[in-house]
This record gives sequence, C-alpha cells and structure tokens, in this order.
Amino acid sequence: MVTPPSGVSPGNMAIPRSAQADEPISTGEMAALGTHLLIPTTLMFLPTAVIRIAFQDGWLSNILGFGLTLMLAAILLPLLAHAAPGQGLLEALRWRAPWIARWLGLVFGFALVHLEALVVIEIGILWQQAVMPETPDTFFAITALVLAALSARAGIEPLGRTALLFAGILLIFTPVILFMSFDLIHPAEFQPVLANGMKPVVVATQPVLGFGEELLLLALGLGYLRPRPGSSPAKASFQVVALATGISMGVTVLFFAATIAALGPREASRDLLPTLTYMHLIRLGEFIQRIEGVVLLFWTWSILTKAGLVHLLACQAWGAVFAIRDARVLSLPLVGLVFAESRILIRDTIELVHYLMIWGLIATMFFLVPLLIGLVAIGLTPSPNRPAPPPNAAVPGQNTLSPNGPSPAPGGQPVP
Amino acid sequence: MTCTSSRQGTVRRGGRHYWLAFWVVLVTVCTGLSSGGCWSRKEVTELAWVSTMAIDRGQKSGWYRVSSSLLNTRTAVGMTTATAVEPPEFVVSVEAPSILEATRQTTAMLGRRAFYVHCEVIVISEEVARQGLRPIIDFLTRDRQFLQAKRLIIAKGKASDILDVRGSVEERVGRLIMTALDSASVYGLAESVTVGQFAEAASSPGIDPVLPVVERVSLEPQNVQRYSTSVPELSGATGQTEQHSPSSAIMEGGTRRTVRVVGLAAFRNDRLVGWFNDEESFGLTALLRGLRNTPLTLTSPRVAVSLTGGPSKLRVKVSPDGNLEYTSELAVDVSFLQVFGSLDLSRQEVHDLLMQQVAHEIQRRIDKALSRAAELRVDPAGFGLALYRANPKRWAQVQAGWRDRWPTVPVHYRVDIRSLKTGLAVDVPPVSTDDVPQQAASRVIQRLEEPV
Repeated sequence: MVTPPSGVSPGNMAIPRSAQADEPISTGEMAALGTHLLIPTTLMFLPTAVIRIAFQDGWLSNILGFGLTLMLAAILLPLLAHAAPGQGLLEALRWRAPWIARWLGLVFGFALVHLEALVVIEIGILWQQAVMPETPDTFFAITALVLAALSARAGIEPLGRTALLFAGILLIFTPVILFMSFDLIHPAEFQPVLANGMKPVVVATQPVLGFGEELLLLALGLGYLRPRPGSSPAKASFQVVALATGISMGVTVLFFAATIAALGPREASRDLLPTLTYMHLIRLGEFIQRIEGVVLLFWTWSILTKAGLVHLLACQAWGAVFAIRDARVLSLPLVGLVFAESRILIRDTIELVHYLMIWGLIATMFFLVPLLIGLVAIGLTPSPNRPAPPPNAAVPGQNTLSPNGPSPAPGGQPVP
Repeated sequence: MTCTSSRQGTVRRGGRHYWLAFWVVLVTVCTGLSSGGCWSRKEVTELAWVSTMAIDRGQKSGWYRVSSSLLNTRTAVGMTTATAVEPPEFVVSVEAPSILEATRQTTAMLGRRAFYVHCEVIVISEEVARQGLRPIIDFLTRDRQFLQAKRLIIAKGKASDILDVRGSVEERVGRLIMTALDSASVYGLAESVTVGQFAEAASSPGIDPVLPVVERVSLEPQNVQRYSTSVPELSGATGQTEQHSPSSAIMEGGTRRTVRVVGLAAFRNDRLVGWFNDEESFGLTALLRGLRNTPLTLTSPRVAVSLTGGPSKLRVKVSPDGNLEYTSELAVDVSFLQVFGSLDLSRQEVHDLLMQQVAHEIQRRIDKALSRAAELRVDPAGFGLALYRANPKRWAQVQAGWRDRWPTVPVHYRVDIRSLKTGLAVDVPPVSTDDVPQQAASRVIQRLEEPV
C-alpha cells in the first residue's frame, strides 16, 4: 500500500512512478483494446435493440451514436492525458485528491463489475443459445471469468498483443465476409425510409451511445499508453480514440447494414443474435457452407479479451479504493463478485434486451459522469509535479515519469 | 530501449508464472471440452440425420402430422450401396400438437436423436398452409437447428406424399427437390424461397409472400421388378407408422415417381389463398427476381428464345394530390435457340419485330400474373412496399385498403430488349429451293406487322 509520507501533503510530494507506466503498450495496442471494448458486444446484441426501434434506419443510429462517442472520447481522453500525462484517471487522482479517488474508484469498481457481469452473461447466451444448448451457462460464466482473471493478472501487455492480432484479423475478414454475402444483400432493405421521421433514429442512438461510452473506460488505463517518440500523451490518446472508434464504427455499421439487408428489418428485429443468423446464411456454393464456426471463434476471442480488459480495469478501480499499488492482486477475489452478480443480474434474454435499451443512460451515469467529475477534480487540484514551491521543501526527482525507476522521496528513500 | 527494459521488468515480477497458470487452465479447459466432457456433445453414431421434413394436418384438431425423411446410415456409411431393400432414405411420421413435440417423438421412435441441421427442405401441405404458417415459421426461426436458410415449399395434396418419390436419378428426396426447384427457377416457373425470406415478406408492409408448389408425378412404367419389394421398416416403428408411412412400399407396380414444380402459391400474410399457373409464375418471377436463361416460345412466328435480365426496377410516383403511378423497367437479353420455318435473322427488320414480339409476350405474362394477384387480393410484387419506402406518409394513408386499391393504380411496364443474339447460326437450314429465304422473310415481316 502506498500512502503519502506523514507530514507531506499530497500536493507537495513527488508522484511515485506510475504502476501502469511499468507496462507500457503502444498506441496501436491500446486502440485495439478500445476496439475490443466496443465491437464484440455491439455486434452481438445491439442490432436487435436498435432495429426494434428504428427498423431499417437503425444503421443511421449506429453512425450517430458512434459519432457522439467519438466526439466525447476525443475530447475527454486527450484532456486527461494532457492534465495527467502517463497516468490513468484514478492514478492521477490518488496523488491529487485521494478522497475523490476512493469514491470514484468505488463507483468505477461497481460499474466495471457490473459491466463484466454483463459480458459474462453475453458470452453465456452466445454459446448456450447458439451452439451448446444443453450446457449450463454457469459453465461458460466460470470459464470466461477464470480466463479473464488470469489474463488480467498477466497484465495489459498480453491483452494488448492479443487485441492487436485480432484487430488485424477483423480488418481482413470483414470485407471477405461481406463479399461472400453479396448475393444475400438487398440494398433496398436498408435504404433510409424514416417513416416516422428522425425521432426513432435519435431514440435508438441511446443504446448505441451506451455501448460507445464503454470506450471512456480507457481513461482508467491511459497510464499504460506509451506515446511514440516525439508524440505527446494527449495526441497518442486522441489517436487511440480515433482508431478504436473509427474501426468499430466502420465494422459495426457495415455489419448492421448487411444484417438488415440480408434478413430484412423485421426479421432482424425479432432475432436474438441477428449478426450470427446473418453469418448462418453465408455460404460459398458447395464449397463453404457454414462459416459461423470461424466467426464464433474470433467473436469469443474478442469478447474474452474484452472481459480480461474490463477485469483489469476493475482491479485498478478497486485498487484505488484500497490504495493498492499493483491492483492485479485483486484479480482472483473479484471473480467471485463478478460471478455472483452475473447470476442475479439478468433473469432471461428478454430482460437483457430490455435492459440494453437503457444501457445508454446507465453508461452515462456510471462511466461518463464519474469521468467528468474526475477531470474536474484533476483540473482544480494543483499538480504535484508542478507544486507551488514552499520554502525549504525542495522535492528532488520531479520528473517522475522517467523510465529510470522510482523517484526518490524526500529523505532519499525510494517510494515503494 | 525504454520499452524493452520495462517489458522485461514485467516478466521478472512474476508474469511468467501467471502465463504458465493461464496456459495450464486454457489447455485443461480445451482438453476437457474436446474429450467428451461437454454437455452438448453429439456423437455422429447417435444421430439420425433428417434430410427433408413434411408437415401435414393431423387427425386431431390443431395437431400436425410431421414426416421426416431420414438418411439410411446403413447404406450411407459404406457398408453397402442403396438397393431396393436398403433404400438411401426412409420416412417416419408422427402426430403431435406442436412441431417441437413431433421432433422429440421422432427421436423416441428412432432410438437415435433426430438431427435437423442438414434438413434442407421443409414441405408443407396445402391444408396447413391455408390455416396459416406463422406458428411453423416461428418455430423454424426460433429453434437453433432450423436455420433461416431452409427452403420452404408447398405440396399440392399431402406433404408426406412428396417424400415418397424414390426411383428417380437422385436418391435423396431433399436433393431431388432442391435441384427441381433450381431448375424451375431457371425456367421461370418458381422462385426458391427460404424460411427467412418468407418470414420477412409476410411481416413487411406492402408485400405478400409466395412459395413454390410441387406435386408428385409418376414416370412411365419401368421394368423394375427387382424394386417392387417392400422396404423393411425401421426397428422400433409401430404398426400404425407402417400403415401410414409412405415408405412402406416404394415404386409399387414398377412405377417411379418424382416431383414437379408446378408454379407458385399466393399468400395473404401467412395464409395460402391461391395459385399462380405456369405463365403467371413466369410473369411474377420476372418481376421479382428477373430472368436467368429462362426459355420462352413465341407462337407467331414460332421461335424459342432464352431470356436473361432483370430484376425489374419498380418506381412509384406520388402526385401532389396523392395519386399513385408505378413504372417498371425490365431489361432483357434474348438469345434465339430454335427457329421454326424460314426466318432470315440477319435482317434488321426481322430483328426489330421479333424484339417487339418478345417484349410483348413478357409483358402479357406479367399482366396476367398481376391480374391473378389482384383477383386473389394479394400484392406479391411489392407495390405497397415500394410506396412505403418511397413515401411512408402516403403509405400510412392507403395502407388499410391497399389490397383492394393497388389493382386500380396505373402501372406502366417497359420491357427493353437490350440485345438479340442468334446463337451460333444466323439463318435456318435450307430444306428446298422453291422457298427463297427472302420471300419467306417478307412473309414473316408481313405477319409480324399485323396488329397484335
């Protein structure tokens, strides 16, 4: 546990080396992780929720929702990176306003456990409803949670590399899949009709925005981001947001439109997993009859990566609550909490679909608002890196983000 | 350098152990799943593969009689080839209040789990279709074994009769029906419709679905004495099944049977309301999905052509006072494949007039199809859907009485013959010297110039 030395106010002490900065990942890896936060669950359940409201105009809602996400994330994350370079939101707050950091950590901690429980439920539904109906979803939940916990303990670097590999595969396979389903697509099915004006499109933007706001959770892990030489953290975080949102919006809009065009808006709206049903229909003559197995493999890969990332961020949040420097020790204990919530959160798939209709509201309350509060707190608190120098309180080692290891604290002893 | 040192630092702090644990758990889980510990495992040797399913009305009110044509794995796994006593497929029929229960009863009768993933065709009887297909479609789109890509067809008469068509070149019923459907769609007699397409058309505003119709026909009597033996019934089949099952005897009296696609069935929402005959089906398929090497024989002059083109582009124009007007364009390529009599195809006048005749004949069939649709009060061409997409507000005003209204809306068809090909010959083979081709051509032109 790291506590400010007695007699030294947080504003006057040097920030120890960031725990996240010990495991830097590149902009591409961080962007790939952001893509994983958005794509897998968006493709799974969002089409049903959106098309039920906006029918064939649903893909417009997708563009609108992701556009708003891009706008929000492209402002807030670079702002954080500029205000607290090399640190995640809670990390930055711990040394500026510990009290706020604990409370925000609590909010984020519960929100992330909730999100991970939802992801676990979605994995269970995907596999149980689509592939293995006789297998209890508890089995999928435990498997997914154990894998998520272990990958979170392994750290962000393996997650980032896995995510980057998947992002490449996704970019290659998306046009291939769309090309293979060319004969299924009837463009007239997704031409905008706007039978009831723009209102349904705007209303359907709400769940899209909810899924999109999950990208804001990267603020908690922004300390992992290692900018390229010559690039600032703010610029790197903007690149992350632009890449993640751009890829996610492109892929999901394409699959949205293709699903609507292949199944028709009414069939797509009553389908639990319309994207998977669309994959079922794709065949290449007598040669390739079923591609959904391959799709399921990559889908599961992606959603497990998301679960791992969310688990890691949840550890960070709870670590801020308990002031633990390397919060990954909380990885396994959190499994029990997430598992318990996943068992009591949603009763059935219908309830889940209805719940996702208000996911935009939930995400705004528990992802966006705490981030805004944190940013304001950081903005109002003087940076400990640039304190007003009190008399006789020279703080050595101000450049605490130096890669040369922990900065010595006053008194010459390294901060643990 | 900074990056390298920090990453190595991560590993030093114990990441290696976590990776080891990760891989141990991953390998354990994967091994557990693949070694038969999975709840949802399906052993190939425990499955009975259903290739075709037929749904008839049951004897009890609201019940279904579900017949399943199953692959005979005794011949399919290489023990022996299909013979009269070991046909490639056999049929099992059950009656149940729901399709779900029927599938479970089928499993109970077989001693193996009925597996429907490879069931390619679902045949529905006329009686069931007249009651409405919504409950069946709901089951087929809800159950994970029945993908939306399964094809739906309507049987004139009993659906289970369609499964009893062995003796044709194709041994498997499902495959036979699929190829018959594909062929019929080529010659413009039917359109292959999947479960998903039917469900979407039935639930969309301003369009009614159609389904292909098949009937069982007998081929000429053959000398197939060796095929006249009865099929040994499956072990476990009850006496009742033996009595009613169409597989109890195949090709009685040496008669081979096959299926024939005889047109399209018209639906109002999900209920069967009538039929489209050959020419009407031709016109409708030309509108819906175009022509694909579709044959057409003109009577005067007598010429057989192959048509390719489409589908038609349907546009609706709403005037300021709310009046509707449809235009449709169908662009077609024509190839001459058989010419009767003397006709000099190298002459431009002959070309022009023949193009008019072809366009007129296509238009006549489309008109006939639409007249029949109006008579049945259905909108299979999707005039209402086109209006909904183009002007949803106007659609909301006319939606209520649309089926009675659309026949009164003017529809202007334009069939454009894009190209006229003569095949590998430009002229007919000469048969005598007294009929000079030029004179014959003049006679044809005179005949063509008579008002149609």
